Amino acid sequence: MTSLHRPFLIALLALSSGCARAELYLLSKVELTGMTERIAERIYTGKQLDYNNKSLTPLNYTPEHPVRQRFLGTVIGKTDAEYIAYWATRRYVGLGTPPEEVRDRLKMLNLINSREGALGYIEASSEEMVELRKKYSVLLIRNAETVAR
Amino acid sequence: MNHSKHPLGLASCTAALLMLLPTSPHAQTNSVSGFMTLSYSLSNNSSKYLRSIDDGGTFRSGSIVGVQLDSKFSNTLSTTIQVAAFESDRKDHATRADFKWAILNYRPSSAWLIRGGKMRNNLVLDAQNLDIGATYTPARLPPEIYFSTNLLEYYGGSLTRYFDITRQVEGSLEVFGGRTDTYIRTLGNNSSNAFFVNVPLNLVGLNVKAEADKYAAQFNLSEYKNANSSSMDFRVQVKTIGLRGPVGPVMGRVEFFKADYPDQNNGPRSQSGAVIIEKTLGKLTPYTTLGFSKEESGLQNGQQRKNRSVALGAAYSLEALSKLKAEVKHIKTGEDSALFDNAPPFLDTNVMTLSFSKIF
Repeated sequence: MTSLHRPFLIALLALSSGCARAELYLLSKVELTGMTERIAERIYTGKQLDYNNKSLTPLNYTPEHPVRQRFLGTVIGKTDAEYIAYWATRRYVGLGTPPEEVRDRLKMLNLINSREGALGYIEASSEEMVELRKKYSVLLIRNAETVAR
Repeated sequence: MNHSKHPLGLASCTAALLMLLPTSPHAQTNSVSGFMTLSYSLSNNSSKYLRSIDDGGTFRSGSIVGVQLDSKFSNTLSTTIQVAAFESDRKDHATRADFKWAILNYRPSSAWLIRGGKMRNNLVLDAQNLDIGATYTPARLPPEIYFSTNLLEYYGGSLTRYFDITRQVEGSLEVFGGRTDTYIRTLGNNSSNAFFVNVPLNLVGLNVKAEADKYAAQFNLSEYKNANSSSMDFRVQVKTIGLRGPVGPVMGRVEFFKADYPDQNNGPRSQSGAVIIEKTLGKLTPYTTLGFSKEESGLQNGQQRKNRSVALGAAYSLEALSKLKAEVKHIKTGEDSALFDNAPPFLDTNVMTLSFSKIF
């Protein structure tokens, strides 16, 4: 890259990040109508196993993944370390193991698509979600009162 | 464990059943994990505290290593098998390896949990995860409350109902029953000659818990009854209360334990309590613990066994699942203490503990 191009590229990146931050969406092939963040929290903390009588298997990103950190902070109300510690305690009192972890968004989408009852989350723009909404039931995560439509 | 005393050989049966289950073709996921605590304690006194801590120092008290296999067969059916090596509770100066957990979990819905096998009575707040040092802050949870661990493990079953108390507060009600395999340690005149008597006990109880974010409140009522009909009948009722939550800028915890023999007038009784206050500052969590215990024999002019302690310490999180801890504790006894071996009356002792706990 020439030195002439670099300032232009930095400015473009700054503009794009300032204009539209990707939203956080919960995705599943199971119908999520009526789902709230409170219910999502219960599912990701092992307290709820199903939704609308359909068994759900939550998926997570690996620790320190930025989308995981955003999700945990927004939906679960815990830091990465607190969430890991929470599941460590549950595991060793025989109350189950933490959600399966994936490294990236591609793997997350593949598992949501291929595994029955899988529930996952991604960061995406509203344009990207137009296509994904055709395939999955979606919850846009905004705050604790969010309800899927 | 002496299996001949148990008609079903509960430990071996449960373990064998559960060991077989993961090989079933229906097994979906297996997950293996491990944990360890390496703990060194040194006191300024030759009278042994918690069976093995004296002025010679020991790695035995509190050190443990274990592995756990979790198998999930479906969203409703799973097993947990945990094996650990730890300071023997059946022989002094020895290490023992045994199943700590060996359970079959059946959760037909989010509201119900049915468990059977070898498990733990959640008698006090960290009773079930007591062996996993990385899950709590203190280097040693107050022994006045947490030392009677052989009352915790039992072979049996439990039924738990989960429910919402309010939108933010979740509750659970657990009823349980089974048999414990308690070993009572008795000292001769010379503290090196302790012997252990197996006293099988039948157990029934209930546990009520409410949790909201970082707050927790728990009440446990457990009744232990001598399971060996050839010896003297006795019944012990244990009631515990535990509260935990943020108090201003710190996290606080209060626990209280009371044991009575309801069938005996003026029978023996004991009370103990503990307070833990901690403050997380990044990776460092300084804390203080206070503990007391009082046992009365019930006899007129009978001896009281008393113990009070205060500890200052800190835990440093090397990562989410490993902690380095250091603690200094001062202990003051009454005429006698259940936590010391043949200690002289009104003993003052300091104990230093360094430990490293990790989950892997």
